[in-house]
Amino acid sequence: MTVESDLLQITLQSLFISGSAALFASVIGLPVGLVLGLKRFRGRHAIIGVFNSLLGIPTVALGLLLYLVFSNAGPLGFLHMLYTPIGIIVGQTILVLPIMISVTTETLLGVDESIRNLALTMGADEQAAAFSVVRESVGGLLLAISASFSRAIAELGVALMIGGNIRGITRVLTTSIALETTRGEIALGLGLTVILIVLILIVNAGLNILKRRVQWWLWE
Amino acid sequence: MGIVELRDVTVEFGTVKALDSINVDIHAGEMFSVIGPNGAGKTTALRVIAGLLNPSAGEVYFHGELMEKSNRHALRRQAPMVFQKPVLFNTTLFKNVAYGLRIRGMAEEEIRKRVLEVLEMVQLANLQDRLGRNLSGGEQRRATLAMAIVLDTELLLVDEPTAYLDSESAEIVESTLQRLNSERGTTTVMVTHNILQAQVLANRAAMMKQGRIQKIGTVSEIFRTELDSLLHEEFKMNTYSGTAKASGKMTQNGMLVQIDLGNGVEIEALSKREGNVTVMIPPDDIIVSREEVFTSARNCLIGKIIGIDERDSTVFLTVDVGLSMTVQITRRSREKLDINLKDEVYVTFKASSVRVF
Repeated sequence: MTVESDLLQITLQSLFISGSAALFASVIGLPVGLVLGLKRFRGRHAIIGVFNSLLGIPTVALGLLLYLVFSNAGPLGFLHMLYTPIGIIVGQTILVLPIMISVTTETLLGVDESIRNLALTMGADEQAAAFSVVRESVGGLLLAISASFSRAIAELGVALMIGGNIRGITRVLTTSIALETTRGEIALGLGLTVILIVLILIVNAGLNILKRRVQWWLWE
Repeated sequence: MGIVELRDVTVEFGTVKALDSINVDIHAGEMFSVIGPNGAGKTTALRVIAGLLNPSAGEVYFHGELMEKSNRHALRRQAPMVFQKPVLFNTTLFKNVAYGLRIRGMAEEEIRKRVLEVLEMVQLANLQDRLGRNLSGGEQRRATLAMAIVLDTELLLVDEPTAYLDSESAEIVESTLQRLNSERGTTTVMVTHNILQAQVLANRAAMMKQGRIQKIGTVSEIFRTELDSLLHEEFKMNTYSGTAKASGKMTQNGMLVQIDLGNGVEIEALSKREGNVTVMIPPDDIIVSREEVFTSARNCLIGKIIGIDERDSTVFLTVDVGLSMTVQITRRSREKLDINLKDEVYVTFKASSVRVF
Protein backbone atom coordinates (compact mmCIF):
# COMPACT_ATOMS: atom_id res chain seq x y z
CA MET A 1 0.00 0.00 0.00
CA THR A 2 1.39 3.46 -0.91
CA VAL A 3 1.56 6.45 1.36
CA GLU A 4 -0.95 8.20 -0.91
CA SER A 5 -3.50 5.42 -0.70
CA ASP A 6 -2.94 5.24 3.07
CA LEU A 7 -3.56 8.97 3.35
CA LEU A 8 -6.67 8.76 1.23
CA GLN A 9 -8.02 5.86 3.26
CA ILE A 10 -7.34 7.63 6.57
CA THR A 11 -8.93 10.86 5.33
CA LEU A 12 -12.02 9.07 4.04
CA GLN A 13 -12.28 7.04 7.24
CA SER A 14 -12.08 10.25 9.31
CA LEU A 15 -14.76 11.86 7.19
CA PHE A 16 -16.97 8.80 7.47
CA ILE A 17 -16.58 8.35 11.23
CA SER A 18 -16.85 12.00 12.25
CA GLY A 19 -19.49 12.75 9.60
CA SER A 20 -21.57 9.87 10.92
CA ALA A 21 -21.09 11.07 14.51
CA ALA A 22 -22.17 14.60 13.57
CA LEU A 23 -25.14 13.16 11.67
CA PHE A 24 -26.30 11.00 14.58
CA ALA A 25 -25.74 13.88 17.02
CA SER A 26 -27.87 16.07 14.74
CA VAL A 27 -30.63 13.48 14.50
CA ILE A 28 -30.78 13.21 18.29
CA GLY A 29 -29.61 16.68 19.32
CA LEU A 30 -31.65 18.91 17.02
CA PRO A 31 -35.04 17.68 18.27
CA VAL A 32 -33.84 17.83 21.87
CA GLY A 33 -32.50 21.37 21.30
CA LEU A 34 -35.76 22.36 19.61
CA VAL A 35 -37.79 21.15 22.58
CA LEU A 36 -35.49 22.87 25.07
CA GLY A 37 -35.42 26.08 23.03
CA LEU A 38 -39.10 26.32 22.20
CA LYS A 39 -41.07 24.60 24.95
CA ARG A 40 -41.46 25.90 28.45
CA PHE A 41 -41.63 23.24 31.11
CA ARG A 42 -40.50 22.63 34.64
CA GLY A 43 -36.84 21.64 34.88
CA ARG A 44 -35.95 23.02 31.46
CA HIS A 45 -33.24 25.32 32.77
CA ALA A 46 -31.71 22.51 34.82
CA ILE A 47 -31.50 20.29 31.71
CA ILE A 48 -30.00 23.14 29.68
CA GLY A 49 -27.45 23.62 32.47
CA VAL A 50 -26.47 19.94 32.40
CA PHE A 51 -25.84 19.99 28.65
CA ASN A 52 -23.94 23.26 28.91
CA SER A 53 -21.65 21.81 31.55
CA LEU A 54 -21.05 18.70 29.44
CA LEU A 55 -19.66 20.89 26.66
CA GLY A 56 -16.21 20.79 28.15
CA ILE A 57 -15.98 17.09 28.87
CA PRO A 58 -12.37 15.93 28.29
CA THR A 59 -12.21 13.53 25.35
CA VAL A 60 -9.74 11.31 27.16
CA ALA A 61 -12.07 11.00 30.15
CA LEU A 62 -14.96 10.07 27.90
CA GLY A 63 -12.70 7.69 25.97
CA LEU A 64 -11.66 5.93 29.16
CA LEU A 65 -15.24 5.71 30.39
CA LEU A 66 -16.43 4.23 27.10
CA TYR A 67 -13.42 1.88 27.02
CA LEU A 68 -14.57 0.46 30.36
CA VAL A 69 -18.16 0.20 29.14
CA PHE A 70 -17.26 -1.43 25.80
CA SER A 71 -14.47 -3.70 27.02
CA ASN A 72 -15.27 -7.39 27.27
CA ALA A 73 -15.78 -7.15 31.03
CA GLY A 74 -17.89 -4.01 30.69
CA PRO A 75 -21.68 -3.81 30.66
CA LEU A 76 -21.79 -3.40 26.85
CA GLY A 77 -18.90 -5.71 26.10
CA PHE A 78 -21.23 -8.15 24.35
CA LEU A 79 -21.69 -5.55 21.56
CA HIS A 80 -18.01 -5.98 20.58
CA MET A 81 -17.67 -2.31 19.69
CA LEU A 82 -14.19 -1.81 21.09
CA TYR A 83 -11.58 -1.18 18.37
CA THR A 84 -14.25 -0.78 15.69
CA PRO A 85 -15.27 2.31 13.64
CA ILE A 86 -18.79 1.93 15.05
CA GLY A 87 -17.34 2.24 18.55
CA ILE A 88 -15.63 5.53 17.63
CA ILE A 89 -18.83 6.79 16.00
CA VAL A 90 -20.79 6.05 19.18
CA GLY A 91 -18.12 7.73 21.30
CA GLN A 92 -17.89 10.84 19.14
CA THR A 93 -21.67 11.07 18.97
CA ILE A 94 -21.81 11.15 22.76
CA LEU A 95 -18.96 13.68 22.80
CA VAL A 96 -20.58 16.17 20.40
CA LEU A 97 -24.19 15.69 21.46
CA PRO A 98 -23.98 18.41 24.18
CA ILE A 99 -22.58 20.84 21.59
CA MET A 100 -25.43 20.06 19.24
CA ILE A 101 -28.06 20.46 21.94
CA SER A 102 -26.58 23.50 23.66
CA VAL A 103 -25.89 25.50 20.50
CA THR A 104 -29.35 24.67 19.12
CA THR A 105 -31.04 25.62 22.39
CA GLU A 106 -29.11 28.84 22.83
CA THR A 107 -29.74 29.82 19.20
CA LEU A 108 -33.47 29.37 19.60
CA LEU A 109 -33.50 31.17 22.94
CA GLY A 110 -31.55 33.98 21.31
CA VAL A 111 -34.25 34.63 18.73
CA ASP A 112 -36.27 37.59 19.88
CA GLU A 113 -39.62 36.67 21.44
CA SER A 114 -41.07 39.31 19.15
CA ILE A 115 -40.51 37.02 16.12
CA ARG A 116 -42.88 34.49 17.64
CA ASN A 117 -45.34 37.23 18.53
CA LEU A 118 -45.10 38.65 15.02
CA ALA A 119 -45.91 35.26 13.51
CA LEU A 120 -48.82 34.78 15.93
CA THR A 121 -50.31 38.19 15.28
CA MET A 122 -49.98 37.66 11.54
CA GLY A 123 -52.21 34.61 11.93
CA ALA A 124 -49.81 31.73 12.50
CA ASP A 125 -50.82 28.97 14.90
CA GLU A 126 -48.40 27.86 17.63
CA GLN A 127 -46.70 25.33 15.34
CA ALA A 128 -46.22 27.79 12.49
CA ALA A 129 -44.96 30.41 14.95
CA ALA A 130 -42.42 27.91 16.31
CA PHE A 131 -41.36 27.18 12.74
CA SER A 132 -40.83 30.91 12.20
CA VAL A 133 -38.46 30.94 15.16
CA VAL A 134 -36.61 27.92 13.76
CA ARG A 135 -36.40 29.56 10.34
CA GLU A 136 -34.80 32.63 11.89
CA SER A 137 -32.30 30.31 13.59
CA VAL A 138 -31.05 28.43 10.53
CA GLY A 139 -27.59 29.99 10.80
CA GLY A 140 -27.23 28.89 14.41
CA LEU A 141 -28.53 25.38 13.72
CA LEU A 142 -26.01 24.89 10.94
CA LEU A 143 -23.35 26.31 13.24
CA ALA A 144 -24.29 23.57 15.72
CA ILE A 145 -23.77 20.91 13.04
CA SER A 146 -20.53 22.53 11.94
CA ALA A 147 -19.19 22.78 15.49
CA SER A 148 -20.17 19.17 16.19
CA PHE A 149 -18.39 17.89 13.09
CA SER A 150 -15.31 19.99 13.79
CA ARG A 151 -15.12 18.78 17.39
CA ALA A 152 -15.58 15.15 16.28
CA ILE A 153 -12.97 15.14 13.52
CA ALA A 154 -10.45 17.07 15.63
CA GLU A 155 -10.70 14.97 18.80
CA LEU A 156 -8.11 12.38 19.71
CA GLY A 157 -9.07 10.82 23.05
CA VAL A 158 -12.13 8.82 21.99
CA ALA A 159 -10.67 7.80 18.62
CA LEU A 160 -7.51 6.50 20.31
CA MET A 161 -9.04 4.76 23.30
CA ILE A 162 -12.08 3.23 21.61
CA GLY A 163 -10.58 2.80 18.15
CA GLY A 164 -7.08 1.77 19.10
CA ASN A 165 -5.55 3.32 15.96
CA ILE A 166 -5.64 0.09 13.94
CA ARG A 167 -4.27 0.65 10.47
CA GLY A 168 -6.93 0.41 7.77
CA ILE A 169 -9.73 -0.01 10.30
CA THR A 170 -9.85 2.61 13.03
CA ARG A 171 -6.95 4.86 12.08
CA VAL A 172 -8.15 8.42 11.59
CA LEU A 173 -6.37 11.70 10.97
CA THR A 174 -5.85 12.66 14.62
CA THR A 175 -4.58 9.26 15.70
CA SER A 176 -2.27 9.22 12.66
CA ILE A 177 -0.90 12.63 13.53
CA ALA A 178 -0.19 11.47 17.07
CA LEU A 179 1.43 8.26 15.83
CA GLU A 180 3.63 9.90 13.18
CA THR A 181 4.77 12.59 15.61
CA THR A 182 5.79 10.04 18.23
CA ARG A 183 7.63 8.15 15.51
CA GLY A 184 9.54 11.31 14.65
CA GLU A 185 7.84 11.67 11.26
CA ILE A 186 7.22 15.33 11.86
CA ALA A 187 6.80 16.21 8.16
CA LEU A 188 4.16 13.52 7.69
CA GLY A 189 2.45 14.63 10.90
CA LEU A 190 2.39 18.19 9.62
CA GLY A 191 1.00 17.05 6.26
CA LEU A 192 -1.81 15.19 8.03
CA THR A 193 -2.49 18.26 10.17
CA VAL A 194 -2.85 20.38 7.03
CA ILE A 195 -5.27 17.84 5.58
CA LEU A 196 -7.28 17.89 8.81
CA ILE A 197 -7.49 21.67 8.91
CA VAL A 198 -8.37 21.90 5.20
CA LEU A 199 -11.10 19.32 5.69
CA ILE A 200 -12.61 21.31 8.55
CA LEU A 201 -12.43 24.52 6.50
CA ILE A 202 -14.06 22.88 3.47
CA VAL A 203 -16.90 21.39 5.49
CA ASN A 204 -17.54 24.70 7.27
CA ALA A 205 -17.47 26.66 4.02
CA GLY A 206 -19.90 24.14 2.54
CA LEU A 207 -22.25 24.55 5.50
CA ASN A 208 -22.05 28.32 5.13
CA ILE A 209 -23.13 28.08 1.50
CA LEU A 210 -25.83 25.65 2.56
CA LYS A 211 -27.06 28.17 5.13
CA ARG A 212 -28.00 30.69 2.43
CA ARG A 213 -29.64 27.98 0.33
CA VAL A 214 -31.61 26.65 3.26
CA GLN A 215 -32.73 30.16 4.27
CA TRP A 216 -33.86 30.83 0.71
CA TRP A 217 -35.54 27.44 0.46
CA LEU A 218 -37.39 27.82 3.76
CA TRP A 219 -39.00 31.01 2.48
CA GLU A 220 -40.20 29.42 -0.76
CA MET B 1 -72.27 45.86 21.11
CA GLY B 2 -68.65 46.71 20.42
CA ILE B 3 -66.40 44.85 18.01
CA VAL B 4 -64.14 44.28 21.02
CA GLU B 5 -65.18 44.34 24.65
CA LEU B 6 -62.87 44.14 27.61
CA ARG B 7 -64.66 43.24 30.81
CA ASP B 8 -62.88 43.70 34.14
CA VAL B 9 -59.60 42.73 32.55
CA THR B 10 -56.71 42.47 34.96
CA VAL B 11 -53.16 41.53 34.06
CA GLU B 12 -50.65 40.82 36.78
CA PHE B 13 -46.93 40.35 36.37
CA GLY B 14 -45.94 38.89 39.71
CA THR B 15 -47.09 41.41 42.27
CA VAL B 16 -47.43 44.25 39.74
CA LYS B 17 -50.85 44.96 38.27
CA ALA B 18 -50.21 46.08 34.69
CA LEU B 19 -53.96 46.30 34.09
CA ASP B 20 -56.38 46.76 36.92
CA SER B 21 -59.92 45.72 36.06
CA ILE B 22 -60.38 47.73 32.90
CA ASN B 23 -63.56 47.88 30.85
CA VAL B 24 -63.53 49.11 27.25
CA ASP B 25 -65.83 48.77 24.25
CA ILE B 26 -64.32 49.37 20.82
CA HIS B 27 -66.98 50.29 18.27
CA ALA B 28 -66.90 49.11 14.67
CA GLY B 29 -65.31 51.58 12.28
CA GLU B 30 -63.82 53.90 14.87
CA MET B 31 -60.29 55.10 15.45
CA PHE B 32 -59.77 54.51 19.13
CA SER B 33 -56.76 55.89 20.86
CA VAL B 34 -55.29 54.75 24.16
CA ILE B 35 -53.26 57.52 25.67
CA GLY B 36 -51.29 57.88 28.84
CA PRO B 37 -47.79 58.14 30.23
CA ASN B 38 -45.18 55.38 30.10
CA GLY B 39 -46.07 52.40 32.26
CA ALA B 40 -49.79 53.17 32.17
CA GLY B 41 -50.60 49.73 30.74
CA LYS B 42 -51.45 50.87 27.20
CA THR B 43 -49.37 48.27 25.37
CA THR B 44 -50.47 45.53 27.78
CA ALA B 45 -54.11 46.34 26.95
CA LEU B 46 -53.32 46.14 23.24
CA ARG B 47 -51.57 42.78 23.64
CA VAL B 48 -54.58 41.42 25.50
CA ILE B 49 -56.88 42.47 22.64
CA ALA B 50 -54.40 40.96 20.14
CA GLY B 51 -54.61 37.63 21.97
CA LEU B 52 -50.90 37.69 22.73
CA LEU B 53 -51.36 37.96 26.46
CA ASN B 54 -53.83 36.10 28.66
CA PRO B 55 -55.51 38.28 31.24
CA SER B 56 -55.09 37.14 34.83
CA ALA B 57 -58.79 37.90 35.30
CA GLY B 58 -61.65 39.24 33.24
CA GLU B 59 -62.92 38.55 29.74
CA VAL B 60 -62.27 39.70 26.20
CA TYR B 61 -65.08 39.45 23.63
CA PHE B 62 -64.86 39.71 19.84
CA HIS B 63 -68.26 40.41 18.32
CA GLY B 64 -69.73 39.01 21.51
CA GLU B 65 -67.66 35.81 21.37
CA LEU B 66 -65.57 35.15 24.46
CA MET B 67 -61.87 34.77 23.68
CA GLU B 68 -60.57 31.55 25.18
CA LYS B 69 -57.91 28.98 24.46
CA SER B 70 -59.96 27.09 21.89
CA ASN B 71 -60.72 30.10 19.68
CA ARG B 72 -57.77 32.36 20.47
CA HIS B 73 -55.96 31.52 17.22
CA ALA B 74 -59.04 32.19 15.08
CA LEU B 75 -59.80 35.48 16.85
CA ARG B 76 -56.16 36.54 16.75
CA ARG B 77 -56.34 36.36 12.96
CA GLN B 78 -58.94 39.10 13.05
CA ALA B 79 -56.77 41.54 14.99
CA PRO B 80 -53.19 41.90 13.76
CA MET B 81 -50.96 44.07 15.88
CA VAL B 82 -48.20 46.42 14.75
CA PHE B 83 -45.55 46.51 17.45
CA GLN B 84 -43.83 49.63 18.68
CA LYS B 85 -40.42 48.22 17.82
CA PRO B 86 -40.49 47.15 14.18
CA VAL B 87 -39.92 43.41 13.83
CA LEU B 88 -39.37 41.74 10.47
CA PHE B 89 -38.51 38.23 9.37
CA ASN B 90 -35.10 37.65 7.84
CA THR B 91 -36.28 37.76 4.24
CA THR B 92 -37.28 40.24 1.58
CA LEU B 93 -39.80 42.98 2.19
CA PHE B 94 -42.21 41.33 -0.26
CA LYS B 95 -42.08 37.98 1.54
CA ASN B 96 -42.49 39.67 4.90
CA VAL B 97 -45.65 41.41 3.76
CA ALA B 98 -46.89 38.24 2.05
CA TYR B 99 -46.37 36.14 5.20
CA GLY B 100 -49.83 36.53 6.72
CA LEU B 101 -51.56 35.88 3.41
CA ARG B 102 -49.50 32.74 2.76
CA ILE B 103 -50.35 31.48 6.25
CA ARG B 104 -53.98 31.91 5.24
CA GLY B 105 -53.42 29.84 2.10
CA MET B 106 -54.24 32.57 -0.39
CA ALA B 107 -53.40 32.03 -4.08
CA GLU B 108 -49.99 33.40 -5.11
CA GLU B 109 -51.47 35.63 -7.81
CA GLU B 110 -53.82 37.30 -5.35
CA ILE B 111 -51.01 37.62 -2.80
CA ARG B 112 -48.81 39.40 -5.32
CA LYS B 113 -51.59 41.81 -6.23
CA ARG B 114 -52.46 42.65 -2.63
CA VAL B 115 -48.87 42.96 -1.43
CA LEU B 116 -47.94 45.35 -4.23
CA GLU B 117 -51.06 47.39 -3.61
CA VAL B 118 -50.22 47.78 0.08
CA LEU B 119 -46.55 48.49 -0.59
CA GLU B 120 -47.68 51.30 -2.88
CA MET B 121 -49.88 52.61 -0.09
CA VAL B 122 -46.97 52.84 2.35
CA GLN B 123 -44.63 54.03 -0.41
CA LEU B 124 -42.26 51.07 -0.29
CA ALA B 125 -43.07 49.34 -3.59
CA ASN B 126 -39.62 50.13 -5.00
CA LEU B 127 -37.97 48.28 -2.10
CA GLN B 128 -39.94 45.02 -2.33
CA ASP B 129 -36.87 42.85 -3.07
CA ARG B 130 -34.71 44.43 -0.38
CA LEU B 131 -34.05 42.41 2.78
CA GLY B 132 -36.49 43.71 5.37
CA ARG B 133 -33.77 44.10 7.96
CA ASN B 134 -31.72 46.29 5.62
CA LEU B 135 -34.45 48.91 5.51
CA SER B 136 -34.17 52.11 7.53
CA GLY B 137 -36.07 52.43 10.82
CA GLY B 138 -38.87 54.44 9.21
CA GLU B 139 -39.14 52.02 6.31
CA GLN B 140 -39.23 49.07 8.69
CA ARG B 141 -42.09 50.67 10.60
CA ARG B 142 -44.00 51.20 7.35
CA ALA B 143 -43.20 47.60 6.38
CA THR B 144 -44.65 46.23 9.61
CA LEU B 145 -47.73 48.35 9.08
CA ALA B 146 -47.98 46.92 5.54
CA MET B 147 -47.75 43.37 6.96
CA ALA B 148 -50.81 44.03 9.07
CA ILE B 149 -52.94 46.03 6.65
CA VAL B 150 -52.42 43.61 3.76
CA LEU B 151 -54.54 41.16 5.78
CA ASP B 152 -57.49 43.52 5.34
CA THR B 153 -58.92 42.70 8.75
CA GLU B 154 -61.80 44.47 10.39
CA LEU B 155 -59.63 45.46 13.33
CA LEU B 156 -56.09 46.80 13.41
CA LEU B 157 -54.00 47.30 16.56
CA VAL B 158 -51.13 49.76 16.41
CA ASP B 159 -48.65 50.44 19.18
CA GLU B 160 -47.09 53.90 19.06
CA PRO B 161 -47.38 54.22 15.28
CA THR B 162 -44.94 57.07 14.84
CA ALA B 163 -42.55 56.71 17.76
CA TYR B 164 -38.98 57.57 16.74
CA LEU B 165 -40.01 58.23 13.13
CA ASP B 166 -38.83 61.11 10.98
CA SER B 167 -41.57 63.49 9.95
CA GLU B 168 -41.85 62.05 6.42
CA SER B 169 -42.38 58.47 7.62
CA ALA B 170 -44.68 59.66 10.41
CA GLU B 171 -46.84 61.47 7.88
CA ILE B 172 -47.03 58.38 5.64
CA VAL B 173 -48.01 56.18 8.59
CA GLU B 174 -50.63 58.62 9.85
CA SER B 175 -52.16 59.18 6.41
CA THR B 176 -52.21 55.40 5.79
CA LEU B 177 -54.09 54.83 9.05
CA GLN B 178 -56.53 57.59 8.17
CA ARG B 179 -57.08 56.18 4.68
CA LEU B 180 -57.66 52.68 6.01
CA ASN B 181 -60.23 53.98 8.43
CA SER B 182 -62.07 56.21 6.01
CA GLU B 183 -61.88 54.06 2.86
CA ARG B 184 -62.02 50.52 4.23
CA GLY B 185 -63.72 51.27 7.53
CA THR B 186 -60.95 49.49 9.43
CA THR B 187 -61.48 49.77 13.16
CA THR B 188 -58.18 50.90 14.62
CA VAL B 189 -56.98 50.82 18.20
CA MET B 190 -53.91 52.96 18.52
CA VAL B 191 -51.70 53.27 21.56
CA THR B 192 -49.85 56.53 21.75
CA HIS B 193 -48.36 58.91 24.22
CA ASN B 194 -48.44 61.53 21.49
CA ILE B 195 -51.53 63.40 22.53
CA LEU B 196 -51.51 65.53 19.42
CA GLN B 197 -51.62 62.43 17.27
CA ALA B 198 -54.55 61.10 19.28
CA GLN B 199 -56.34 64.39 18.79
CA VAL B 200 -55.75 64.44 15.05
CA LEU B 201 -56.44 60.77 14.26
CA ALA B 202 -58.85 59.32 16.80
CA ASN B 203 -62.62 59.56 17.27
CA ARG B 204 -62.60 58.23 20.81
CA ALA B 205 -59.92 57.78 23.37
CA ALA B 206 -59.22 56.18 26.70
CA MET B 207 -56.84 57.83 29.06
CA MET B 208 -54.87 55.35 31.15
CA LYS B 209 -52.76 55.74 34.22
CA GLN B 210 -51.22 53.07 36.45
CA GLY B 211 -53.13 50.24 34.79
CA ARG B 212 -56.50 51.90 35.11
CA ILE B 213 -58.69 53.80 32.72
CA GLN B 214 -59.06 57.32 34.07
CA LYS B 215 -61.41 58.60 31.41
CA ILE B 216 -63.01 57.27 28.28
CA GLY B 217 -65.01 59.15 25.69
CA THR B 218 -64.82 61.12 22.49
CA VAL B 219 -61.53 62.82 21.90
CA SER B 220 -63.08 66.25 22.31
CA GLU B 221 -64.64 65.19 25.64
CA ILE B 222 -61.34 63.87 26.91
CA PHE B 223 -59.48 66.92 25.79
CA ARG B 224 -62.06 69.32 27.12
CA THR B 225 -62.33 67.80 30.57
CA GLU B 226 -58.91 66.32 31.06
CA LEU B 227 -56.81 68.66 29.00
CA ASP B 228 -55.20 70.51 31.84
CA SER B 229 -54.26 67.46 33.88
CA LEU B 230 -53.41 65.48 30.78
CA LEU B 231 -51.22 68.10 29.25
CA HIS B 232 -49.65 69.62 32.30
CA GLU B 233 -49.41 66.83 34.86
CA GLU B 234 -48.62 63.94 32.56
CA PHE B 235 -47.01 65.39 29.49
CA LYS B 236 -45.94 68.81 30.77
CA MET B 237 -47.12 70.18 27.44
CA ASN B 238 -46.87 73.92 26.94
CA THR B 239 -50.26 75.21 25.81
CA TYR B 240 -51.10 78.82 25.11
CA SER B 241 -53.81 80.84 23.45
CA GLY B 242 -52.74 83.48 21.01
CA THR B 243 -53.42 85.42 17.87
CA ALA B 244 -51.82 84.32 14.63
CA LYS B 245 -51.20 86.47 11.61
CA ALA B 246 -49.49 85.60 8.35
CA SER B 247 -45.89 86.73 8.26
CA GLY B 248 -45.68 86.51 4.49
CA LYS B 249 -42.57 84.33 4.87
CA MET B 250 -42.30 80.86 3.36
CA THR B 251 -39.92 78.06 4.26
CA GLN B 252 -39.42 74.77 2.43
CA ASN B 253 -41.73 73.20 5.01
CA GLY B 254 -44.61 75.64 4.61
CA MET B 255 -45.90 79.06 5.51
CA LEU B 256 -44.76 80.90 8.61
CA VAL B 257 -47.17 82.66 10.92
CA GLN B 258 -46.42 85.14 13.66
CA ILE B 259 -48.24 84.31 16.89
CA ASP B 260 -48.72 86.80 19.67
CA LEU B 261 -49.05 84.90 22.94
CA GLY B 262 -49.49 88.02 25.07
CA ASN B 263 -47.15 89.52 27.68
CA GLY B 264 -44.91 90.62 24.85
CA VAL B 265 -44.13 87.07 23.76
CA GLU B 266 -44.19 86.47 20.02
CA ILE B 267 -43.23 83.24 18.32
CA GLU B 268 -43.17 81.87 14.78
CA ALA B 269 -44.86 78.65 13.70
CA LEU B 270 -45.57 76.69 10.53
CA SER B 271 -49.29 77.02 9.91
CA LYS B 272 -51.92 78.43 7.63
CA ARG B 273 -54.20 79.42 10.49
CA GLU B 274 -54.86 83.02 11.36
CA GLY B 275 -56.80 84.67 14.17
CA ASN B 276 -57.38 83.03 17.57
CA VAL B 277 -55.37 79.85 17.90
CA THR B 278 -54.27 77.35 20.51
CA VAL B 279 -50.59 76.60 20.52
CA MET B 280 -48.77 73.54 21.90
CA ILE B 281 -45.03 73.27 22.26
CA PRO B 282 -43.70 69.89 23.44
CA PRO B 283 -41.20 70.43 26.28
CA ASP B 284 -38.72 67.97 24.76
CA ASP B 285 -38.57 70.04 21.56
CA ILE B 286 -37.12 73.02 23.43
CA ILE B 287 -33.41 73.57 23.89
CA VAL B 288 -32.17 75.43 26.92
CA SER B 289 -28.83 77.24 26.96
CA ARG B 290 -26.84 79.67 29.04
CA GLU B 291 -25.95 81.83 26.04
CA GLU B 292 -28.06 82.85 23.10
CA VAL B 293 -27.54 80.25 20.38
CA PHE B 294 -27.73 81.13 16.70
CA THR B 295 -29.29 78.22 14.85
CA SER B 296 -31.84 77.69 12.12
CA ALA B 297 -34.53 77.52 14.84
CA ARG B 298 -36.77 80.55 14.50
CA ASN B 299 -37.70 81.01 18.13
CA CYS B 300 -35.29 82.06 20.84
CA LEU B 301 -36.59 83.60 24.08
CA ILE B 302 -34.85 84.73 27.22
CA GLY B 303 -36.25 83.92 30.65
CA LYS B 304 -35.63 82.99 34.28
CA ILE B 305 -35.84 79.56 35.85
CA ILE B 306 -38.76 79.58 38.26
CA GLY B 307 -39.20 75.85 38.83
CA ILE B 308 -37.19 72.63 38.72
CA ASP B 309 -38.92 69.25 38.84
CA GLU B 310 -36.57 66.26 38.82
CA ARG B 311 -37.96 62.86 37.85
CA ASP B 312 -35.42 60.04 37.60
CA SER B 313 -33.11 60.96 34.73
CA THR B 314 -35.43 63.66 33.42
CA VAL B 315 -35.66 67.24 34.65
CA PHE B 316 -38.52 69.60 33.86
CA LEU B 317 -37.53 73.25 34.06
CA THR B 318 -40.16 75.96 34.27
CA VAL B 319 -38.89 79.09 32.59
CA ASP B 320 -40.58 82.48 32.84
CA VAL B 321 -40.24 83.99 29.38
CA GLY B 322 -43.14 86.36 29.94
CA LEU B 323 -45.22 83.20 30.05
CA SER B 324 -44.46 80.06 31.94
CA MET B 325 -42.75 77.53 29.65
CA THR B 326 -41.75 73.97 30.57
CA VAL B 327 -38.54 72.57 29.13
CA GLN B 328 -37.51 68.94 29.37
CA ILE B 329 -33.81 68.15 29.72
CA THR B 330 -31.79 65.29 31.11
CA ARG B 331 -30.34 65.34 34.60
CA ARG B 332 -26.91 65.19 33.02
CA SER B 333 -27.63 68.29 30.94
CA ARG B 334 -28.77 70.12 34.04
CA GLU B 335 -25.56 69.22 35.83
CA LYS B 336 -23.47 70.20 32.83
CA LEU B 337 -25.19 73.56 32.45
CA ASP B 338 -25.30 73.98 36.24
CA ILE B 339 -28.87 75.25 36.11
CA ASN B 340 -30.45 76.53 39.31
CA LEU B 341 -33.49 78.54 40.34
CA LYS B 342 -33.50 82.19 39.23
CA ASP B 343 -30.81 81.59 36.62
CA GLU B 344 -31.19 83.43 33.34
CA VAL B 345 -31.40 81.09 30.35
CA TYR B 346 -32.33 81.07 26.69
CA VAL B 347 -34.97 78.72 25.30
CA THR B 348 -34.83 77.86 21.61
CA PHE B 349 -37.27 75.88 19.47
CA LYS B 350 -38.10 75.44 15.83
CA ALA B 351 -41.17 76.86 14.14
CA SER B 352 -42.03 73.27 13.17
CA SER B 353 -42.13 72.26 16.86
CA VAL B 354 -45.04 74.61 17.47
CA ARG B 355 -48.41 72.89 16.91
CA VAL B 356 -51.18 75.32 16.03
CA PHE B 357 -54.89 74.47 16.38
